[in-house]
Amino acid sequence: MSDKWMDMIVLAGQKQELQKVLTSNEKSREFGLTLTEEDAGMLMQSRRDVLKNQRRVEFGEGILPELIQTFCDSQYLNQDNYAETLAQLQDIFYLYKNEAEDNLTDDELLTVMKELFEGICYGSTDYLQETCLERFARAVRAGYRDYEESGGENEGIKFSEEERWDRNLYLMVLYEELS
Amino acid sequence: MKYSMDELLPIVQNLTEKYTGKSSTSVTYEKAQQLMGAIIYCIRENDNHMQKSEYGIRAGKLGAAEAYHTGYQLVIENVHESKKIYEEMIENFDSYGLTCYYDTVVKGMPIFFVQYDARFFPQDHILTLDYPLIDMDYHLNGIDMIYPYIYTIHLEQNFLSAFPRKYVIEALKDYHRNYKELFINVSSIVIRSVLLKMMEGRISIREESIETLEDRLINLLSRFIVEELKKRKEDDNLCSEIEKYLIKDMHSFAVELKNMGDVKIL
Repeated sequence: MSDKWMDMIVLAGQKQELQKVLTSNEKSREFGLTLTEEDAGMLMQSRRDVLKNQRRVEFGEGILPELIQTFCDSQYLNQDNYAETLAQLQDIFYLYKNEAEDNLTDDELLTVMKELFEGICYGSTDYLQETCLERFARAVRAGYRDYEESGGENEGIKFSEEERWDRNLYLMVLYEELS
Repeated sequence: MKYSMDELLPIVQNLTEKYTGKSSTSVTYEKAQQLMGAIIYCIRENDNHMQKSEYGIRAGKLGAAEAYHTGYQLVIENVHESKKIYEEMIENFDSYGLTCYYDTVVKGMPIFFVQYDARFFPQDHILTLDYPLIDMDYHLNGIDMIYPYIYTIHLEQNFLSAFPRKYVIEALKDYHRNYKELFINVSSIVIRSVLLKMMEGRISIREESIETLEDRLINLLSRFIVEELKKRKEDDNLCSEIEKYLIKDMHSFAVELKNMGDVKIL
């Protein structure tokens, strides 16, 4: 099957997805987030590009509506960064579907991504892509499957190794400095 | 039958959903190619069946989905049929000490029946089929490769069981003392041994062309089938099939004899 056919398959699903993406504004509007038709178009193009780069195919509507449902209540999203962050999260999603060798369902990966994005990564997609998610995918490739029972909940955090901002330590040092 | 991408896409989409259990909206290019290959395989299975049947010729072109579903059912039927033949054959199977024969038929075939994925990967026949038949068609794949393979092994076993076991082993040892680790066809070795013995006196084959030699061998083979095999097997259809199979070896046998030059047959 040639790349041309793959493009046709991706395009075939695009119309359905565009409609669903615009419909998802109904939910995201509650959090002050909406996508214009231009934003949705940009996200569709981004979807085509990342699917081609990651050599993946979607036969129906894509992951974007689910991605929006999962992340629209994030404290780190605002109207200014909404479309751009969704595009970055979409890229990360397809990348890690491959990195985990399709051992993660869509729901499991979205759950892990959301927890890390909100918890450890403080809304940074770079941090999300380059740290614990990478380690988590490596573990999955090596045979780790504990996430199957929990559906991905509380999994990503197990792979955090970076030294963290520690509030108690900060207060202790501050107190010492001030006294 | 050619179908357009528009006709095939919904079938691929449906099959992909089944494959992922609807837990993933996307698959890799390689997986998509495999699933598309599965659909084309089943459609081709249906096409082949339609071309052979009078009903098929009259019925004309089916829709892609119907062609796929019918083809898939045919794949399943062929697997069942193969298994039936295998189970009948394996009861009295004898590999005559040939390792590749044993490994392929006794160890390998059960793995095929367990692992063959008629739904998502029917084009993969899984096994390497190391034991060579006289006429292997390497263009075939999936159950289309395995079904005739098992049937032919079944024919071979029927042919070989007409001889005392000791005779077969001796023929193999005459071919090569350490025959057990070779990748050779037992029926070919045995029938060549039989035909050589049937050639009486000294035969000078230098002046004979390969075609003439081949004709002589075919005649000898037919004589053997009529005078000897039919007495032992009592199934004319089976003997005809065995003959049709062994005839395919006669050309290469003639070529080898020609290359040997003068042959004294004791």
